[in-house]
Amino acid sequence: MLRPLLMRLRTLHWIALLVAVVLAVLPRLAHAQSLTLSPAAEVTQVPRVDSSGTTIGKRSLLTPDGISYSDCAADLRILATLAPAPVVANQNLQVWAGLGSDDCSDQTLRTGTTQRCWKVATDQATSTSMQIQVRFQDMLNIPSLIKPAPGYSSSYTPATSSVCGQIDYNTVGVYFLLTSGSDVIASQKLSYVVDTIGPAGLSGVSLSAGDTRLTVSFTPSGTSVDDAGTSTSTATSTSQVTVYWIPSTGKPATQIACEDSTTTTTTTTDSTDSGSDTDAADAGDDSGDPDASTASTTDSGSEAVCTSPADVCYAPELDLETGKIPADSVPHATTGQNSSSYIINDLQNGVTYSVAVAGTDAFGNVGSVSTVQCGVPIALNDFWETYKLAGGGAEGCATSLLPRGSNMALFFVASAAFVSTLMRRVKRKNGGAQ
Amino acid sequence: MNRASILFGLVLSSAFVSSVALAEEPALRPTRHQRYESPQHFALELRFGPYWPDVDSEPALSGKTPFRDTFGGGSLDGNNNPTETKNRVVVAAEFDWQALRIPYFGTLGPGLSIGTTSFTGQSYYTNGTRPGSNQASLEDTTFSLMPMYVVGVVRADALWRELRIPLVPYAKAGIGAGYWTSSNPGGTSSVGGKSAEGISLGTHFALGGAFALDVIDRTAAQDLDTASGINHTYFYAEYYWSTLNGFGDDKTLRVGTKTWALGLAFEF
Repeated sequence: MLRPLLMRLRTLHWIALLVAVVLAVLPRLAHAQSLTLSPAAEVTQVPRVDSSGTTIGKRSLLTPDGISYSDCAADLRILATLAPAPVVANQNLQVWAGLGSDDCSDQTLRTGTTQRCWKVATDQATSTSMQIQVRFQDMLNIPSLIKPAPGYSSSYTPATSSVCGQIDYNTVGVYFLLTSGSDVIASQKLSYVVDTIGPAGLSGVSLSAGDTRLTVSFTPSGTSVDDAGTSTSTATSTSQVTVYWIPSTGKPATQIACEDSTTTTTTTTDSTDSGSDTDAADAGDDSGDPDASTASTTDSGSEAVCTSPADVCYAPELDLETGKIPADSVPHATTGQNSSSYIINDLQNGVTYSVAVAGTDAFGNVGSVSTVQCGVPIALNDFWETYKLAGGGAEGCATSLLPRGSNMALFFVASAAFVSTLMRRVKRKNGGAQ
Repeated sequence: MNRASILFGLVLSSAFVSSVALAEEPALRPTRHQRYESPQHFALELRFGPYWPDVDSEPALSGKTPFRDTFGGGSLDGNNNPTETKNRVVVAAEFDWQALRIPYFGTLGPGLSIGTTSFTGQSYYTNGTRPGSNQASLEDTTFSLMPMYVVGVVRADALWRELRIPLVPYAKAGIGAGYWTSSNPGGTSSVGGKSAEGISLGTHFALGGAFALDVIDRTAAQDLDTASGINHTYFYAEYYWSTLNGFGDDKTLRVGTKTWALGLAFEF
């Protein structure tokens, strides 16, 4: 009698325990929250906008999308649309960034001495649909890499364009954290490949003059070394070469330094020296002798006579500091990464042009501009013109012998007929033999 | 020379071919000193040699040498122009059909060849001079040439096949053609609306001798025949005369030459 009773009690015991567990877990399940990034949690799906909020097109150079120097300099940003569900009071949305594999949802990476993540937007109170702009400049404001180092902080400090051009090839993760106090309730992450340093400068740049054109030659990059001197990936090596050219303006007289004063400066004779001259060079020789009072001074009123070819070649648009790139207004063209030369056509004969080249990587970063070369397109005679000027009678394609191209066609048709005839004879003979 | 001359030459070639009596070798027949060899109908030559077209021989140039001045080498004259010719290498291939085997003599058949070479030099200032070595160079000008010919080829290989003397003298005769073009960095040159591009026809004759490499390793030669059907391999040298002058036409660029060539030949 007792045994069945004990069995029933034991069964009831287990049922009661199960009910207790369910009652304990259900409230928590009822409060589970999610954070959705729309249209998708992929960098290619998240729109880019400029500082005015206007959506701009994606660049096609990289897959997935990357961040370049020009993206940073233009203060572009991503526009993330987030939807926490359900919306709970007293919760915030925080946006952090971390390098490489650093997981910013880990609180130890956001606070204290172990902090390696940095804030890239101000905290926002949650709502049903939130749009947050994250500036690339803030994403590139990496405390461990930027100079001067901004230091780690628990608050958001907007970065400036000074961070552009400092970050070599790297990966930055952007973390959208739905937080309640110090707890992370839900999160979303976007990873961006960043590189704001262009390829290493090209060497061996030289120019040859042509008829209304200049041919610029250079040594192909051929390596995966970027302008920071580090060997990284093919994405940071030269993917194409940009050639810049502009008519030389010549240096302003104020910038022309005459190194050899005996031959290049004009002199004036101070024949009216009265002894009140305070010129140090003349102070001890104030005897009234006109010859003795001759001073070697540049006559600012005369034309500069110490102009050198380098002065004539000068073009401020290309005479840039290392790391600077010419303005878009400077005529330029691109050629392939394995190219060793480029022909600049449609130039004006007799005009001095300044020419420089720079490598461009897959991010679109332009590397250091090469040493500026100068060339003057000039009327030339190539071989054919020289031959005709010498009296050569050949008339090229327009020869009267046969219409253009007919000679070649006739040669091959005759050859084909020749071989065809023989082949037929072989077949006929073989057929006859059988 | 006119179109009739060219057509006459082609007809002659066709007549030559048509008159050829064909001889077929049985598959795997025994020869006097070899066990067996696969049928042999063709020859392929890979050719290399110097080339300097005869452009400056044109009478209308009155002794002027625009080709040498542009593409030559050696010492420079007062205008910084070369004073010596400078050969370039022509690379070519020739395919022969050994259509007729003449007993105790050799083979006779047609052959077709095509090759390529190019010349690059500096353009000139309009006053006929060029920069010195310490001045910036001018742009290049290029002359490209594709020499071709269709010839009858006679190879006296009886010495090798019958007497085992590894020498095969041969001769070629036929019609040649040279497709040429001159260009600058802006593209094909032109003067008076006529572009520098054309073809020059002429005659082609050659004499040469081939050394049978089979004698170096007969077993390897036999294995090569068994495995690939290549009957014989030769190293050869020849001298040829190519008069690509439009058969004397004064409006044809003279791109022929007299020079030698070396190469390897394979009979199969």
